[in-house]
Amino acid sequence: MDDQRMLFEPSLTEKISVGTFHLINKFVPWHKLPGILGALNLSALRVELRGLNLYDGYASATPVQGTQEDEPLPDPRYRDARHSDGKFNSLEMPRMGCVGMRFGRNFPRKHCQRPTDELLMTPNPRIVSERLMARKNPDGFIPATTLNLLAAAWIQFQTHDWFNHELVSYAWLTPSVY
Amino acid sequence: MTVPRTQPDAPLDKSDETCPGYRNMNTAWWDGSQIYGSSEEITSALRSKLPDGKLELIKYGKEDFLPQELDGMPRTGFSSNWWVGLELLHTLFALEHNAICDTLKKAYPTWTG
Repeated sequence: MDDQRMLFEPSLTEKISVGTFHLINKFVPWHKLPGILGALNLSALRVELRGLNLYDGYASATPVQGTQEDEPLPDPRYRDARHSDGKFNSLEMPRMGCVGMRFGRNFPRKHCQRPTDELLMTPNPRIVSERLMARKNPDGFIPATTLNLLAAAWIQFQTHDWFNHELVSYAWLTPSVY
Repeated sequence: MTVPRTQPDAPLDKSDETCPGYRNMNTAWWDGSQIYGSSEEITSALRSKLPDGKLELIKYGKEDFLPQELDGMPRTGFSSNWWVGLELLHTLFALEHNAICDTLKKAYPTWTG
């Protein structure tokens, strides 16, 4: 998606780094580069991912993400030290990514329209469970040979916020039985 | 069968009606909130039982485990959607955290927890 505009203005160094690694990666992928070069390559990829694949969950970053004026540091130590609720990692936009802020998106918001309840339950989770996930092999369980349950545990542990949402306490969606 | 639903955030803009936002209950940063929790109160509660900023661990027999709430859930950064694999990693990282505290204490004896 080379014609897509970045969502933020990268620095000149970042632009040069992204361009250089584009060229290098035509011949060598990042993981085949020597350690430090591979790390620099990843940091260039991060700039690109941030610019092209991370969309704010809010229509506008201001005033929601906060400013230094409306969200001053409660203690000077948080300029350098961790604040537990995730505030002040960005000193310019102190509330970015903190507890209670909306999830970002990987697609522009206009392409993420809320589905109807019917669409949300299509295919019905029970159909997925009973047909797609069913053990059809006469021998039953087919072991995975390339990964184990630790992968599931690690994903849940590392990206823990994806699995812990603000739940509606008064309404549960009950899919109709097909 | 019931499927829990995520609460959409209150609309702040007209576009929120067709593309709702969903709020994060943890920090979105990869900042150790798995073992420190997502509020200053939780972090200090988890780190105040042992000296040198270490996370609280309880010894059962010869091994260290995460302390438990009355309902049996581990006292750590988060325990929603609990299963044994999750507690395994919480325990592993708490042990590693405390081992790093010991090493730092050795290298920088004047540092406070």
